[in-house]
Amino acid sequence: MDRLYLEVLFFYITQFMKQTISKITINLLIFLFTSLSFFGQTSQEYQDSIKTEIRNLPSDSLRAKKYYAASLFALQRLNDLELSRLYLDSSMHYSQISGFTDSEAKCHFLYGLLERIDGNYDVALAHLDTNITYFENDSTNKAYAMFQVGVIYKLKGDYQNSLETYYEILRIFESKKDSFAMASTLNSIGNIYGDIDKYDEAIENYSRAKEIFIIKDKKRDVSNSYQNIGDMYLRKTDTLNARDNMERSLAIAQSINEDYAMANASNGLARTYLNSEPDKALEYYKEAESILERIEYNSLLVKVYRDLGHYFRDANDNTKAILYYNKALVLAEELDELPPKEGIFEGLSSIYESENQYKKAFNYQSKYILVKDSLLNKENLKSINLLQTQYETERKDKEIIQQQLQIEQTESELQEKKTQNNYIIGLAVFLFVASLLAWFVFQQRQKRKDQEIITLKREHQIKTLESLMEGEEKERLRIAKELHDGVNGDLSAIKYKLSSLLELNNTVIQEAITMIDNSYDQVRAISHNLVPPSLINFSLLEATQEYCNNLDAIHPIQIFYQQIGEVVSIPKKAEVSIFRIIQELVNNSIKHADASEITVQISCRDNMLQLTIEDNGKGFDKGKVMGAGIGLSNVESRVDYLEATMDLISNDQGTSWTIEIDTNKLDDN
Amino acid sequence: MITRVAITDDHVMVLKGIGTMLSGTPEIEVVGTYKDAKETIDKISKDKPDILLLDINLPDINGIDLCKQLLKKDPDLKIIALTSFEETSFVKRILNNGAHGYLLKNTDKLELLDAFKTVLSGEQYLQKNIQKNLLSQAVGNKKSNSLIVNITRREKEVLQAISEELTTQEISEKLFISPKTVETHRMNLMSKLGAKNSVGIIKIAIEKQLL
Repeated sequence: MDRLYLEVLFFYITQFMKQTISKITINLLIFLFTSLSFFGQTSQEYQDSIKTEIRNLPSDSLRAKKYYAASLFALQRLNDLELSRLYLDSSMHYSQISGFTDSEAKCHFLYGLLERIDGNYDVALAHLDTNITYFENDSTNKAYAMFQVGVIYKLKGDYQNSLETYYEILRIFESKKDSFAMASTLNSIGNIYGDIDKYDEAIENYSRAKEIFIIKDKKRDVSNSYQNIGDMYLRKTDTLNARDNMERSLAIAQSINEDYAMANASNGLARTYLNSEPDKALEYYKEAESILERIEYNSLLVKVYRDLGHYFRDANDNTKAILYYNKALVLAEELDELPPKEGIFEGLSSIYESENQYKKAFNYQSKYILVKDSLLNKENLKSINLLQTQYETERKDKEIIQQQLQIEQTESELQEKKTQNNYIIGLAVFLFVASLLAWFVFQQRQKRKDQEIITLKREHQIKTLESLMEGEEKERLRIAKELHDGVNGDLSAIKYKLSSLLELNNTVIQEAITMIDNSYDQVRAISHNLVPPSLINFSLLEATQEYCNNLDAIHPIQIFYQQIGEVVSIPKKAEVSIFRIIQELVNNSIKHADASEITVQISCRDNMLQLTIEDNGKGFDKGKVMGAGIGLSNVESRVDYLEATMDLISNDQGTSWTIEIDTNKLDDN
Repeated sequence: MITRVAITDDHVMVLKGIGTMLSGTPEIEVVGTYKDAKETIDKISKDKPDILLLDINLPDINGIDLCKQLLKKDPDLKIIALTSFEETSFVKRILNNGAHGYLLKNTDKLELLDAFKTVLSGEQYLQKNIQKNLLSQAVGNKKSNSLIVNITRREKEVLQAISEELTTQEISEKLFISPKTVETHRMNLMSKLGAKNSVGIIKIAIEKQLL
């Protein structure tokens, strides 16, 4: 099989070179000439000559070229795969060190070829792929490599890919308007259809090729095409059409005197006549035999011998049959071709069997079976390959589906993640808001707590202040009472007693009585100052009025008291505190303000007691005085205790205190 | 004719002192001394004094209330307050309750006898100082309630603000005081000027040349 493709390839390349004069084709041309000159040389001689030549070459790139040509020659002419590979390795080496990428790419092509022959199809494809990629924009070279790819696919039994590859090659040539190359490709496509038993498609492609060959007036190829078409019809068992085509092929072959084509056509015709007209068949076989023997085209000759063997066997001419079978066998051995052997062994076995030479019959039978098996194995390999390809295709499809599924899954996962993210973000926002809220609530609660604590503290302070003031007041009252009732009473009594003695010792006693009077006044003043009796016995208003009147009487300053609004009743403790405030503030004015007038005003309305104390003095600096004097701090404490508000203006026109007390609050205390 | 005198005082020394002081006077007889209001009420009907010297500051009921009670029972009894309080509020109160005289404890024999004579003749006796106090207070009150209206500085500011047609809120913001305080000042002005509303305040203030 390989050899056949190599031949096709070679034919193809030669055609190619005639069409396009490019760098590569020139190289190939050179190579062809050189190779021709070496034709007939032995491998060893060739190697020696190459060595000398290489040594004389001036550059690595030339060496790469030379080695490449040598490799091709070793492959095609010497049929020495090892040597070919050796030269190819060298070519690759020199290509790489010289940076001659063109050559390197071409080496890949040749590697592909070698690997293909060795049956390493995948490695071969990899090499060819490298070549194709490199020559992506060089359609000629690309097609060249793709042709090999198509062949490999075909060998692998992957007819689908093979066809696709050929169709692509076809497109390339179509775009290059290279009709001859197109015809060759169509021919190859026809071959594939023939291999997969699609005779009509094969015939159609062969016919298209034939039309082109006719236009191009390539008679040899036209003949070949008819031959191919006829072969297909033969396989379709359409003997008439087969014969018609074969006859046309033969006629053309004869017209150009092309021996091989003539032999081929004769062989074909013989087969068409085999069943209907055995005599004519024999005639054509003989014709083919004679030509082929003359041109030594053994690969076809072996088939003709075999068929002649069959023919004589069927005609019961065992001697001739054995003769032909043996001829065929020798050639087959020489060519190392298995397929013809199958028929040969089978024929020989059946002949010896009919001659009752069972041992020989058995011998050939066994050989026949062996060959058949190995052929079958080859076929099986092909079908296995096909199956594998199909399987791989399916697997790929599955993978694609799986990938799609995975993609979908990923997408859904992404979606899920997105929603999850959204949830998380939502949750985060919620948590943030919640914590913010919690913080606010906590703050609020803390504030309330603080407020409560402040309130409690204040209450405590007030209680302390209250008990302090209460204690003070009590003490004052006690002292006042003692002075007033006790000491003053005693003084009065002493005075009364002395008065009764007045007549006896007038002057001395009179003096004593005056002294007692003075003491009495002083004690009373002290007592009343401590606790105003009217405050204890009556109300704040009266006590204040009394107080103001007394002060007005004893001081040069005019002290006014005025009361506006209702008379309210407030707790005694509060009254005492208010009175103490009045006392303190009025005293301050008297002592420090240099005022000529002091006004004390109490105004009551709607449970609001407003106390105003004013003077027209020099005023004072709030910052300096407030909190400094014990008196003012006492006022402040009492204002606090009364939960009152204090408003103060003090400037050079005087000082004005306004204290407002909510009497409702006082009831609580 | 002997004048019967009784004394109510929680202070024993005073009781004895007065007794000693009056002992040298034949026309005066101390018929009873009482330590508190209860004893006074209990014994006075039996002792039947013409004059009772009554202290205001007593342990049980104060002298002012006791005065009223005793006079209700015996309208002919002459009561003279003998106390250390010179405050007019006490004076006024006990006089309102029917007391006929008011003496401070630093009194002397002559004054006491003078007081006895005066009340027995049906007139009121007030010690000189007390008389002066009462008088000055009456005059003082008259002074403050007269044509000169005493307006405090804050009230003056509020009055000024009202004349500028400011609202309570605006005034409170201007003077840094609470709206309630502003209202109180306004009410003070109204009662001081005898006005019924803000318009009245302004009108009267202008009349009285306060604006």
